[in-house]
Amino acid sequence: MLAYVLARFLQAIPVLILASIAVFLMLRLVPGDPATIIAGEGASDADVARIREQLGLTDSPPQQYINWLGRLFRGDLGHSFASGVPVSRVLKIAIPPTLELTVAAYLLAVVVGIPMGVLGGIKPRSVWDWLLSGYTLVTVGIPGFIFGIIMLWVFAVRLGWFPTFGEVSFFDDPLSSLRHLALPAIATGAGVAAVLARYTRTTISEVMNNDYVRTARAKGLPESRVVIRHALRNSLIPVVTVMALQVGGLLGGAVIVEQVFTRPGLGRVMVNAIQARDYLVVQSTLIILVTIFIAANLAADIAYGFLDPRVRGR
Amino acid sequence: MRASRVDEITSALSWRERKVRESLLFATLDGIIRNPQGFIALVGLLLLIVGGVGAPLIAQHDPIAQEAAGRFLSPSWDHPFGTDELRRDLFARTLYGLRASFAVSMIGVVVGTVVGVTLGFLAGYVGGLVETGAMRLVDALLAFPGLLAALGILTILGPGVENIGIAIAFFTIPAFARLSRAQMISEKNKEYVLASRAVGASPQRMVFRHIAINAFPPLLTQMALLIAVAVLITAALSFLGLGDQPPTPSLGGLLNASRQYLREAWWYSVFPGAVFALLLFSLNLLSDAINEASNPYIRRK
Repeated sequence: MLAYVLARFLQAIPVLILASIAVFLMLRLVPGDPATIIAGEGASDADVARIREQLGLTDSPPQQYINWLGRLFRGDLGHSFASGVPVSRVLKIAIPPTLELTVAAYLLAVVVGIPMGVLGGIKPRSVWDWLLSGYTLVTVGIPGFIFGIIMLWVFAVRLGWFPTFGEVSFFDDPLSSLRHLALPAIATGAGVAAVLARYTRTTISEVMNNDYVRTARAKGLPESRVVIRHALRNSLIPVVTVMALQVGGLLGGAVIVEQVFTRPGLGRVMVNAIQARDYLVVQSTLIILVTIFIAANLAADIAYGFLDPRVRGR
Repeated sequence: MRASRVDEITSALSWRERKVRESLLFATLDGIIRNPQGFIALVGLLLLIVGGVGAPLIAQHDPIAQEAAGRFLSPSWDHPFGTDELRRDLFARTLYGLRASFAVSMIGVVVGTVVGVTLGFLAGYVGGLVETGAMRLVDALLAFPGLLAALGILTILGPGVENIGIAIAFFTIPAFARLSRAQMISEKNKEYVLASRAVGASPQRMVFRHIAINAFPPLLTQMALLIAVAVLITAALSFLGLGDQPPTPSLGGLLNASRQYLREAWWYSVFPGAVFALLLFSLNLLSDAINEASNPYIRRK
């Protein structure tokens, strides 16, 4: 098992390096000289030279990349050009709310999606199966941010059950935090729940036809135990991969849903930074999000090994 | 009953016309229309395309001029979708927004497809170092989830609808490069390709006349699906304010603006939202239908 985990770690490294090169190149691909653009019109040559120095644009590109990585590991992300605040401080404030939203949406998607898929999969063409198909169809046409607007209108504006905007840290006031989190989390997680449900449905309906399920039934196990202990465990293996791939969509979805509910977080930081052409902020945010995405895929690979001993040998 | 009628007609056709009817493309199209899902999708799409392309003819009002009798007029015969906070006609704004969103998604996906397919075919056909290099590049592009890649590209190029198109082309490339490379590898060793090589067909003729046509249906499925993704990303980005700048209308921009007026004007978000949902539904159903029609294993009985 240890060898398997180690091998997976080693395989993730080249992908991470490639992705970091791509993010690094972002700043070099800006048409024209980034230092001149950042300095703005009417900046003196001295200003431009200072910014170029600050960006480390005076070294050779490979040297710049190594320096950038080195600073990244030390947590030095440079300063925001728009506000002059260290980027690390901007992100320290913006990451927790987004992480809260993503984790809540993810939990919701798993808790709703997988049981829904199981119910639809063990009895194809039952009421549960039709409900599942209907739900999937609706989420295809109504993406998270539109669903968010609908819920905002019904539950926050009309019924007044939930606040219409803002965010409260879970550690300051758990109840208020959950009230602020509920609608955005549902909006972000609804589509992911549908994807998970569809995959679970497909795999479990295939697994239910296997001999070992028949054996488990034949030896008199209650149906719930057959489904949960025998069928579900095996059908979850492909679902785990899909769960990891969905992390990317979830992060992107969270960024947009945050705007719907006027929640502070990475979404607002990214949008403001793009409009202000605050390159270092976007660069740092992207590298963090891509690392999370790659780490999620790695975690899925490792979970695969735990769930299915056959994978380890390969 | 319908099938026999088709047979009747085809038997009366000339040899050349019959060849066309037997072609994969025709079979696929036929399969889409016969599938109720595909039919609904085509009708929906046709409606939206007519609305978008014909926006200047269909809309009775200017999408930008602030000329309506009042703010937040509820839907009426004169203003089917009502008016917005600046006395603009929402029907015209929705149609023009649809037109812009759809155009940029289509152009982005088509450009990305051409580049991706060329890259994939080349990699699959030539093999060796070219293949390894191209596919590593594709892997690096795939490490970024769609929307994040688009955000990165918009940072480089700046906000704007043309740049959204470029971003869409960029994330379309890797998906098509992978798929078309796989298609090329599986097709290039088949007997019909060997046969055409044996009779002395040039590589271009082989790739474009023979292989491309057989690799077409899966690429078409992928294209419909990616246009749906592109439409979604275009709307999401313009919702974030990174697309067309006001007063130019876009579907995402309308939805974003409507958010503040949920209390005063329900129609402001409902109609653009419904048009957008119809677009997403149609594109997703269409891609399912193409897939079903072109894949004999899941073709319905």
